[in-house]
Amino acid sequence: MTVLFAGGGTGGHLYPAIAMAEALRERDPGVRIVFAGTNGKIEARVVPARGYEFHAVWISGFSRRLTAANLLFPVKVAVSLVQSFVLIRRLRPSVVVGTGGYVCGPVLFMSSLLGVPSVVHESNSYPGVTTRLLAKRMTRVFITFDATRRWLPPGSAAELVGNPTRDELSRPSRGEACEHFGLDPAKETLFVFGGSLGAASINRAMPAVVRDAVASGRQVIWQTGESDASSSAAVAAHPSVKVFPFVERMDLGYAAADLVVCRAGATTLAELTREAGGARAVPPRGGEPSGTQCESDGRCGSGGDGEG
Amino acid sequence: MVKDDALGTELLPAVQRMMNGPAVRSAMAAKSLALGRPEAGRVLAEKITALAQ
Repeated sequence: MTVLFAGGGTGGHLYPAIAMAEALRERDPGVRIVFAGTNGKIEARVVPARGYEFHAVWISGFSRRLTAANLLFPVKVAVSLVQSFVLIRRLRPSVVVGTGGYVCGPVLFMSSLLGVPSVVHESNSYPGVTTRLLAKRMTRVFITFDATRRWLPPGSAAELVGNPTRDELSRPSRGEACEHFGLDPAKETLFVFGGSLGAASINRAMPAVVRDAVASGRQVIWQTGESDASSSAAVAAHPSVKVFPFVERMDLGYAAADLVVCRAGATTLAELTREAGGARAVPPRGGEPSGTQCESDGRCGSGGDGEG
Repeated sequence: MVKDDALGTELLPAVQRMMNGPAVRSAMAAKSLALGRPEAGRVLAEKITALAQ
């Protein structure tokens, strides 16, 4: 059996795919897992590092502003469809699974056109544009929140399954985590991240929070994102403050944390609440209403999925 | 929930409340119990395998 995953751009789109891939491999060690993604994005680094095959597709988003890059968009769509056709013909996957991000569009469209069973997993309560456009072509649309059904086109084969998270998140101890980051396990720890890409608004607000935490005898792990690493310059020199552009071992970050400050992304919330352990979220929300996953009063769905 | 435009003024007091108030943290933990579903990956793996047959 060969399963082709298409998804990425952010950790929120990639890690549910990795969680599914790991569950598939646990169930059948002989399964061939292949990922399609975009060069230069998180999947191009994380997928090969985990030992999975990775194939790049040339696609990006369409900017809603007038930009020169938009002139290339039709070319990218055409090229990505050809690349998807070649990839699917060559791999002959038993199933194609999309988890969001621009790469999903051409791969899932082509797989459905070629008659390969094709599914999309939607982590957010309000589905992304790829899910909304392709839902009717999909064999199944796996959803995390029951409320998502109302945003899908009539006739979509939606099925409530929840948001998959990696088993490795349950494994580390606090002691192991603190040792990894060079922290004192006896001190309370604040873990700050704005999603896999970082969040400039959180980063701007953090120096005051970090100074206060350190002055109170606490310690901080802060993931700034690759493009905003300079935001931590004012406080990064303190030995109780550990700053990283990207934290590869989120399992250890969660295990070390007494409190988490983060974006309220669907995958982050699912990971944080997976074991309901030591981490607590104060989730700032992004500016896009469509990105809302959970309101603080818990109205993000039903069927046992909807608390935030 | 702290919105982006209020982070500069509200984030620090929110973190202080949470860090200094174990009861607040316990309440948040209880509220969030239902979202994470450790079995979701295995459920999806079963369904994907079934589609592959």
